Amino acid sequence: MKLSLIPYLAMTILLWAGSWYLKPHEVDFSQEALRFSDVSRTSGCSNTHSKVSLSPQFDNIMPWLSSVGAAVCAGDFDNDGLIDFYVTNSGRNTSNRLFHNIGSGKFEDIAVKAGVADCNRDGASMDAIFFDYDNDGDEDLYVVKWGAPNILFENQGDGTFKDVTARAGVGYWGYANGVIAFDYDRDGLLDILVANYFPDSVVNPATGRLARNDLWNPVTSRIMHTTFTHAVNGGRNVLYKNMGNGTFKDVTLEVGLGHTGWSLDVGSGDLNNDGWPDLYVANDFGADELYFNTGASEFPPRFRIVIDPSGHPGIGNDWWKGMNVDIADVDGNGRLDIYVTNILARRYKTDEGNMLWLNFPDQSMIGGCKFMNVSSQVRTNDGGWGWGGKFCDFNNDGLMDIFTVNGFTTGKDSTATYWYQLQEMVTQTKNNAADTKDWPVMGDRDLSGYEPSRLFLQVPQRADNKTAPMTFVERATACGITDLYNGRGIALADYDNDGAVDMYIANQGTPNCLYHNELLTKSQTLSSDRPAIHWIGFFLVGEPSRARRVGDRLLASSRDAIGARVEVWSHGVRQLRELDYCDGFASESERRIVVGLGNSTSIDRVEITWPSGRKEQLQGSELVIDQYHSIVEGNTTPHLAKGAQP
Amino acid sequence: MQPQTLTQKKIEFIIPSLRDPRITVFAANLLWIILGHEVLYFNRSSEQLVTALLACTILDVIVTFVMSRKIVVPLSGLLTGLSIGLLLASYDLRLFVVVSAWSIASKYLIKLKGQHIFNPSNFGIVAALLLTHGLASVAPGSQWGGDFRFALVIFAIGLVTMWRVQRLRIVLGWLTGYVLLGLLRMAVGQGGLIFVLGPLTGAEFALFTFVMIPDPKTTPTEKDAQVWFGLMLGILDGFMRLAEIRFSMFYALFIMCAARPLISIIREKIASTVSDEGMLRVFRLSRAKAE
Repeated sequence: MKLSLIPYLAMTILLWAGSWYLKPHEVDFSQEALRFSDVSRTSGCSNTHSKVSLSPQFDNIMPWLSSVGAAVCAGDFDNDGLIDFYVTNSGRNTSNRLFHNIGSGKFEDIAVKAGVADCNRDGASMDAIFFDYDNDGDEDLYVVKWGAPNILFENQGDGTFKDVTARAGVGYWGYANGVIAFDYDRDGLLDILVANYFPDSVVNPATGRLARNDLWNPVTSRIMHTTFTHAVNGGRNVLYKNMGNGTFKDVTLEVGLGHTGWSLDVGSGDLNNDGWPDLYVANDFGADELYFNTGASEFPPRFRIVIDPSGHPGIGNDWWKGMNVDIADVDGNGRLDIYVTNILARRYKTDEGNMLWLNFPDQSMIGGCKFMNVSSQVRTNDGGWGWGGKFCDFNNDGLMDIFTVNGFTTGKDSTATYWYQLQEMVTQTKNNAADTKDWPVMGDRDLSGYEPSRLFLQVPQRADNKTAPMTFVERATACGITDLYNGRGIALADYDNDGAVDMYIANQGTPNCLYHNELLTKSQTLSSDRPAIHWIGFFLVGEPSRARRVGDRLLASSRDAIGARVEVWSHGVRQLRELDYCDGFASESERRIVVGLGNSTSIDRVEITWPSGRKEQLQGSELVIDQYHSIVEGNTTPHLAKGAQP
Repeated sequence: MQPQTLTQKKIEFIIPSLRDPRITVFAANLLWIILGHEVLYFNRSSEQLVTALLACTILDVIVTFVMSRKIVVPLSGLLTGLSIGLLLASYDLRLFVVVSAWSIASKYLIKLKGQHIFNPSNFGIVAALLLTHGLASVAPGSQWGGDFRFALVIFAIGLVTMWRVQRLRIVLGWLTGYVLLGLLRMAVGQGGLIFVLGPLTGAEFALFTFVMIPDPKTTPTEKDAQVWFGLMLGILDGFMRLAEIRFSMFYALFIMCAARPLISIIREKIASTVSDEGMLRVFRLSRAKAE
């Protein structure tokens, strides 16, 4: 028998050529001015997160169950013009931290003195937000937990907080992983939406009746999701309506948010430009949910779920592992887009990844919006095992970038992974994964640990090709973000008031990072003939007393002005920002808005739309470039904000 | 109905017979896709499926025409395209074109005695898993909504289809091998019953079993050989699973397809040697008698 080698050689060449063609190629995009450095240790705000430890009955998958809890929120709780950080721990009897910014880039932990440290005596802290629930001008604090009532701390205005949970009625017992404050009915009072993961009750096999799902003292080991794709045995989310007298009312079912998915995060934003905040709920083990607020057509408003063309909740091809929601206008079309983190792992999960849903007007769709996930085309999909993700213009070039953290659990050795075991369980049918006893032992195996964070910088369009599609390049390591911790929450905050947005990152079970953005100092030292990079900042203060009557409704802004919109026009180009700073997994960013202007030294005008519906306009001549401005609703005279550069 | 050949200016048009087993497999797969996409939240990208289908069928037609001046209804290309579109997972659309090209090329370039060796889509998927810089994986088994009732229906339809296309013995051999090795894996402590046998209920397993395995051209036709082929496939896969090799089914089938012609050659050699020795013995015996 004669065997010709030519066909085999041809096949080999074909295989090599295809492999070479598919090899990812780098896009040339230098960002030498943008540098971050981790200053958490030197600045005094370092914290090594302590993980939650549940019943030993779940030891075989404890690394999984204890994989969340590191959270951070940013806010100026003492109104001194310097952003402070509240950081969670999750281990039993560990203390949460309140890092008070004392200026010059230094922090001190005053959690005990402020009365907000002791949150882990029962249950485990999972997320927290600063928000002014009583419109008294200072930031209160809400801490959500696993296995214990959530806690609302009222800011006393003297550097201390008081637990007012019982009086306010917001002590839901469950398994919260996310929380936002927003004003869903635009009454000028901030409401609270809590996203819950595990159900609060399970069937006790001994009695056949529902019992509290206490993961420290479990009645059953059947505590997990029923499927990896359509699980509805998670916790119910809870919407508390702020009644204005220091109390809240649970209106979850009344407004149509009764879904019991495994929610990890929730984000709000006015997606269809009707003035009313809509919702995106990121769910694990099931489709995400997109809700449009019906406030424009009915009162009191409710939430109408969007059914995608396949007949399922969500807005398109979803991957059932939503972990983070952030909402902003990334493509500059005046409509808010959505970034949802997910999982992408080379060799194991390659068709999924983070989703960037661009928002286009389409009156044939519910809510008048059509969403398209363009993440793989614009190269923002490979975020690893994604967790927190935030839109931000980090290099102040006027284009929105994206930063994401990632990593599930770090093993002793990155090659001894749990991927095989996990995927064998994923490829099964309903209920096979619900019992923890059926899961193989995780031990110290790795599951997407050792992953570098991703900094997706939007590439400016070339002057000779203004119609080129939007694209991003990943530059985290090149810009100095080099840690390999398992990140969870990201708080964006300009803690040193230099106009370059910094990041506090809460890492799971490891030291947190405070990445100082050295953009402006670096850009000055790199070259004297390089045009300076400019920015402008806004601190919005709503006036609840200045409510507007629209028909038979009274619409007002909360003092925190969540939902307000700022449109900055510079050289005919608009940048839109909406104040939704609670969005993002296990985190809250600061409430000031920074708008990058690139090399531009002037702006045309600024238009502000308050949650009350009031529109105000400021001329560029009234504003100072490279400064923060404090703008109060109804008062069109801007003032330099506290902490602004002299 | 016999295959029809229409001759026109020396170019032949080949229309497959309705009894061609590939038509049954194609019809069953098409039904799966429609059901999955329209009813069961299939969650496979239409673009990927269409890309793979178009690439495979167009390439199949072109290559066949160039090599034999025949225009065929590309049933084989359609089947390959469906398998790739159903089973391959990647966010990079280019990958589906490249893998389709690899698959179709393997059919024409890697041949022995005029027959291609590898199941084209399996060859393409294995090449994708090994050569595309981690861009490719196999579609997760979370299709079909994770509902066991659909798994039962799919298994029932699949088994009937396998009987119809005379590949039931391979599938039963494969299932037996899988279960036996699953029990062994359980015995050595790799996991519990759900962990080792649970994947049987998943869509990834069903798709592999009923879409990938029954390729008429690269699987044995003899009854005994079919059983052994399936059984060995299951055993090989089981050992790979013991070594925690993900997507082991596809590697195992690749190895089995590669091994089959080798085994065949070895068998022929042995048979030929035995036959030569026999002839020699007969010759010696007759010479002895004559003397």
